[in-house]
Amino acid sequence: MDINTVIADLEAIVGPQHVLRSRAERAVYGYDASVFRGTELLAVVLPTTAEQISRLVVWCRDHGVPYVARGTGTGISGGAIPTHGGVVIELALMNQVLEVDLANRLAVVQPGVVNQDLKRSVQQHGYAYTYVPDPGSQVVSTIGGNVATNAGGMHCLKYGITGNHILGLEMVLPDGDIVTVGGKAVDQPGADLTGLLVGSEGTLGIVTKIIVRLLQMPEAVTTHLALFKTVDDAANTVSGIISSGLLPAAMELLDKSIMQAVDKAVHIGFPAEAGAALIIELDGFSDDMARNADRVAEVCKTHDVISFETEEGIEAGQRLWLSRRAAFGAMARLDTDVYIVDGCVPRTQLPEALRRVTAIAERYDLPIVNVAHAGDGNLHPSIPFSKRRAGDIERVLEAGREILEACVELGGSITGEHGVGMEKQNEMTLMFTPTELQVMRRIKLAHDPDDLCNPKKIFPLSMLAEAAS
Amino acid sequence: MTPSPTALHNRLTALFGAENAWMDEPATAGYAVASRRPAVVAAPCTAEQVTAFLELASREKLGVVPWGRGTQMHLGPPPAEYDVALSLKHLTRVLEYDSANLTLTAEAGLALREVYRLTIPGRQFLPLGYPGSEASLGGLLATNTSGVKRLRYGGMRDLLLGIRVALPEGELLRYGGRVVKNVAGYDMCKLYIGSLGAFGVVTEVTFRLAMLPEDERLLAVAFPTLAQGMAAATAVRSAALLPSTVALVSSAGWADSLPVSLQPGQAALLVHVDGSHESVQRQIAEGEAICTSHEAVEAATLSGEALLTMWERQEVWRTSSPDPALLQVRVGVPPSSVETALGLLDEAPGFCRGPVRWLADAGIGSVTARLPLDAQADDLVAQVQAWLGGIRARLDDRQGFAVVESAPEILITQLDVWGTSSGAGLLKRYKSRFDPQGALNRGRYVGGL
Repeated sequence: MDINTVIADLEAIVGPQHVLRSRAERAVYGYDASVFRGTELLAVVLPTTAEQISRLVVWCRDHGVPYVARGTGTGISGGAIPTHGGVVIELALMNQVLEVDLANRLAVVQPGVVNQDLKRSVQQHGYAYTYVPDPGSQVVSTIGGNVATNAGGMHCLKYGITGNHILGLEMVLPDGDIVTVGGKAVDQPGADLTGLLVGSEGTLGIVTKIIVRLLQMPEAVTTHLALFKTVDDAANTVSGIISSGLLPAAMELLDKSIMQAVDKAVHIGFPAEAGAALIIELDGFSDDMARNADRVAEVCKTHDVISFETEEGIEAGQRLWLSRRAAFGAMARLDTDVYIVDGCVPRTQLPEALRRVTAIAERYDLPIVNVAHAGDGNLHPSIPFSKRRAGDIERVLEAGREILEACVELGGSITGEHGVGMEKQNEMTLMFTPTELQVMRRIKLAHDPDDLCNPKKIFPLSMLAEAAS
Repeated sequence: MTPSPTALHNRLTALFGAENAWMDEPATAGYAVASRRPAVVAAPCTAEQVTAFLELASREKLGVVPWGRGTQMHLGPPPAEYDVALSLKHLTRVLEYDSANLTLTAEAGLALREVYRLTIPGRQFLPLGYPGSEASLGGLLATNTSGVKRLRYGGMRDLLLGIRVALPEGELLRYGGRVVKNVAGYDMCKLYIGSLGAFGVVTEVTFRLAMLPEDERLLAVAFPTLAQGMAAATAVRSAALLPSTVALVSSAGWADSLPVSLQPGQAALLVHVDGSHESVQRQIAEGEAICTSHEAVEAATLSGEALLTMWERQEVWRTSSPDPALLQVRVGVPPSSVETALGLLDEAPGFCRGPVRWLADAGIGSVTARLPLDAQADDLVAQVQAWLGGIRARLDDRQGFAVVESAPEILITQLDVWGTSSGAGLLKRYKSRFDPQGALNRGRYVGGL
């Protein structure tokens, strides 16, 4: 196909100003925040309506051209990377908050709205409500991207992941149909299609409208920083807090290696004997806060806590959150790149999972540092490395795979919140039998029989090759 | 060609043993759906047997209706083909109760009350119904039933973590798992929520549990009019309270259950609060103050046994199989349109022989209403069809919907039970790939699937 014809066709759909075609522009849209790179693209298009997207995907189908929808490219699994050329459908211009409906505690947004911007625009209405999901990338990542990966964050323990907050979607299917699933009224007749489509990583269609649930801001918040001698003490404290009947808003764990890195970056002054830090956020009614904080302190004591600090209110709490928020920035000081592993285990298996991570780090001679959403059992062993050093990336990916194997063995998952993308396609076989994957793929085929919509992602490459032959 | 009942019975006896396959009259009558009876009832003992049976059913083009404990079989039109009732009554094992991680894995035929029995000593529960619930876990999943405390604890889609499912073509699969954060591949569990068995028979489920609250109270308040009750409900929802339920009930049919008296035309607000002693006390006090300022007639607070009874009555009424002389409708609307929905339902149409009884979850936006039918009404089917079409059109303006949950057979076979659903096209695509022979619950599901 003649490239000029392609561009003319695309321009006819979205307008000439919304087709990017220079070499540099195409290169910029060929990667995301993962360690992977895409292939050469035809063009990048920036539609502004669902109808334009519908015409785009129909054009792609008619011409056998693959396409990938993309938000701000913060994904770390390569989900939005074009691996088979074609067109990138960039949703940045569809960034309107269409409606904030406080009577029904919901908002209707376009996919390109940045997570943090939605929170801001809701809070303009008086700080009483908010959109809860807060992936680490929330200042840049879009709601559309959060929906695609079913993103998590720090507050999932109490409030759930993105999917729990999505009431309905409008999606352009690969045949150009624009369908609505779910809605402002819950429990529509039929299956939970919203739940099925959330987390499908842009492989089943392109989401063009999202109904999100808003929640009341908590009346009171306290933040606690507890330091322990060992990771085991910290992890056992997490389980102890839950079994005492409390449900904290967040429980984040840092191990010694990341504490040291953070200390170098932001000078917190952790004591030398501290081997793990736990940040606990409680929220709820002001009447309960003092007693709940005491209970948390009590549980920490039974696990030989070294120090325990408390701050009241969200603002003051930021001081205690600093070490966690600075963690990924601090990792950037350790080497030129960092590879973040995203495994999940039942909460009580966290100490064992971290022990295995340490063993793997030693075996591969890699300086792995650990942060974890400990309340959810979601661990993020992070491996500083350099793409420029020969052999590094291979070793890192191999160690990452072993960590995921350990997570699955302990009853968990290969991805807690970042998705499969192109990163973990082959690791899907750790969790699913070939038949389970074949049946899961029936959903893909029901939507996209030509495999043009974010093609050849999620499923193991060997399986896809077999299906093609 | 479908085998004769005797031949079929012989094959199922060979699969499951003579003690688990029946074709006698009392057995098949016990598994009637409306007036349709199966030729044979089969009760496999393992998930593998379910799979083997489905493979046979698919091959022989049998019509299969999966059964849990039969509490919700009035949902949907009667099956278009009903050769075998597939009972999961033997699939009741608890496979893992992991109290430290607040998860439970059990076979799908287990009754919810058994889960309560198991988890209450550890002060945990599965908030999908009340402690005495007879419903099976698989049935709750297939009908997308959440508990009345959903506002606080989440609903089916929030609590389901994993499934094992048998497909018509003989696959036995696991999806999801035991962890709360798990985004590996498509969330296939969600396809089975509200699926009425259309895409496979779920044999095993894993749920997330919640901790029992330290304290709970139920505030019941009578209001002179529905409008005042609704205004109070809205005020309670907007205040800094975190109730587990904010519900309204009609004067009709609820008088005996309530601790406050209701005159015709009045409505009662039920506010259920869970939490610490302090927060419960405070929320009840604030709730009462809000109600007083909305001109409440009478208020009472329930705790202990009396609270449990009231909670149970709400759950039972919402989910039990109603009298065949009633038309039961479920309406879903955005919460701010609950009053409009109740207005529509309360305009007792000509085919009603008495007042409409309803229960409205004002926090969630879900109304269940029962209309007593006048069997003598002229042209009942046409009247109900016209009425249903009318309320659907008006609910549509508010992004709501209406589903007929139960009706006499003459109606349920002729009404559009589910209404039009924007997702029906996708469901049809999935059905053709998951159950191409249409073996499961044929004709009972959304879109006539």
